[in-house]
Amino acid sequence: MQTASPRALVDVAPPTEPAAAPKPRRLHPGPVRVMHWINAVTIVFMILSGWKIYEDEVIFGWLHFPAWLTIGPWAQHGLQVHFFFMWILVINGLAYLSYGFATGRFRRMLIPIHWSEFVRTIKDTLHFKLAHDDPTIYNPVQKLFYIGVICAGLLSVFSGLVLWKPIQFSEAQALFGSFQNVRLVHFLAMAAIFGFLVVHVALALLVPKTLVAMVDGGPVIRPKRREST
Amino acid sequence: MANKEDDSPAARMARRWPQKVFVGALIGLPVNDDGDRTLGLVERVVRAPDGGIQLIVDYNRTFGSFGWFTRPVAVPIEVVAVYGKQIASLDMQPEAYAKAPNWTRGREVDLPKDEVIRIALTRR
Amino acid sequence: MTPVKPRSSSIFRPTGGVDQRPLLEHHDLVQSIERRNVLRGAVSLGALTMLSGCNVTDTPQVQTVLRAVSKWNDKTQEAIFRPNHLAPTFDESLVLKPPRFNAHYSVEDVKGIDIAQWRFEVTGKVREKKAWTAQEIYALPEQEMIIRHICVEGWDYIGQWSGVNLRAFLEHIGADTSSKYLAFHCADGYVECLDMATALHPQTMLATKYAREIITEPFGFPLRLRTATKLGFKNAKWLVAMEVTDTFVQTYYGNEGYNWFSGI
Repeated sequence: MQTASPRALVDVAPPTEPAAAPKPRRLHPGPVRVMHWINAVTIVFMILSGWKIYEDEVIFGWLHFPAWLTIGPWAQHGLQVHFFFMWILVINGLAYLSYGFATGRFRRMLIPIHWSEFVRTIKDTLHFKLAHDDPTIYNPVQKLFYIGVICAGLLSVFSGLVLWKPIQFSEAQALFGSFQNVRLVHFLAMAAIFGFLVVHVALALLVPKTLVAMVDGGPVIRPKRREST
Repeated sequence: MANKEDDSPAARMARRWPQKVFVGALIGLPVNDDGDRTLGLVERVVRAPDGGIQLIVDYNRTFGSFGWFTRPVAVPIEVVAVYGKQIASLDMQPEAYAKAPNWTRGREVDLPKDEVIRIALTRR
Repeated sequence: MTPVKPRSSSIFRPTGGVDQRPLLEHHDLVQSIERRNVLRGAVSLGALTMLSGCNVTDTPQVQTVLRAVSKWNDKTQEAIFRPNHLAPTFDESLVLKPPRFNAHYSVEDVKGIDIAQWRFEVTGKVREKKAWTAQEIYALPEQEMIIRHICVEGWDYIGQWSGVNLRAFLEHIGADTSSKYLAFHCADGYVECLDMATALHPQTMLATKYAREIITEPFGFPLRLRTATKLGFKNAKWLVAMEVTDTFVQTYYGNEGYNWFSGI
């Protein structure tokens, strides 16, 4: 008598091993959550103090940041805050990148990105189908956003270092052309991060379980599953 | 240095330590208000028969920095000051630009680009 | 002259609008306004108190922490300073004339120097303590450089300065170059303190000329410090004294909360 292979039709958990089973992995492990919230606070302070610094000599004559949106009544306070939080940003950022690569989290969650799925996600979003059935899987737009903001963060740090030390790092400064170009790149990287922030926060509020997941770790990642649409 | 009680444009300019500048270096520079918003770019520098020097600025309140929808406005050299590659309209406010007539050449002559004149300094 | 301690949002900002009379009448009050928030016409006291910006950074506790981190940043900057790395130089056609003026007060308050009375007093750990006249300084071998000036505010320009190389000057006067600092005092009361490593950098000079002409009054006549590796405000103008010392001297802007080392 034929019996259907148990794996042909349904996902099943693998047979329990005699050895101790690994703790189920949650969407956002503890270290990720800690680094996320440290980064969130840090980025806000970096941007608001950065806007204060920008105000001291604006890049675009039509763009001024009002005083209530910037940190510090005096220009030097903006600098002090910026040069304080830059340490936290970089140390926390390096820890996050190391963790992401070493644990395979980036590989699992951010790649691959398929064009057809990307198009489908855009369509869904435009029809306001925002919620995911499975928040442990990032759709292609999410993947691009997260890869993008990591790149923008790296660019802001690199351009920031060149802005801070255009002579000591003159070889790097030469890549940008003029000193004002370094300012411009730093500003544009910030604008990309700010743009990400607006979308990121809005979506987290629209799909609150994602926000909760970044506090309590979120759902357990089910092992052995095919990527769903 | 002029007497501090003298408030004429010439006296104000004299108190701002005017420096030598090539006429050519001024052409194309933005003329900004106190908020660093550009009123317009310098199109030419002219001298009137009485010796007075004026910047002719292509003025538009909103699009001045792009050179769109502008009209020429005469700005006496005494009311401005230079800071780097920007010019501050210190003693002529945006309202005066709005009210000013379109400049048309009377007997003013364009100063050559290699002529050296004096312009006041300021900081931001 | 005791410098007026400004209370505008940036040290470099002038305190009010164009018409000087309200400034004189309400001098102290107007000093406290961020320049871009000045209302045209009648300036109401109520509006003046609407100071802008999140003020928590202005508390002593927060300042203590921020300034401590700034000191840590001094050490970091000293560690990454490359003592012989030259700043890029540029073609003469790019030199800005006139250069851009800045100070902790307006250009109208710049005082001229009586050059006949002016002396540059050199003291401290030197073999030859001496009060130099302008003519004696002009007679020293001259170095010229065309480098980028960068202000902490964010603007920059290419400038051309000539003067006596500072390292050569220190050797000439038998200075102890193992000392930590050079303290500079200026005619307007401004104070700067330069680390010796920067003082010995090949592109640090005591400048007497800009664009091959004697530096004019607003830009530091007759003598100013000119480095290629520091933010603009470290390049003190209107020098009257220099001391070679191991004792740190608090600077004007350091006192206001700006970073001391401020290297670029």
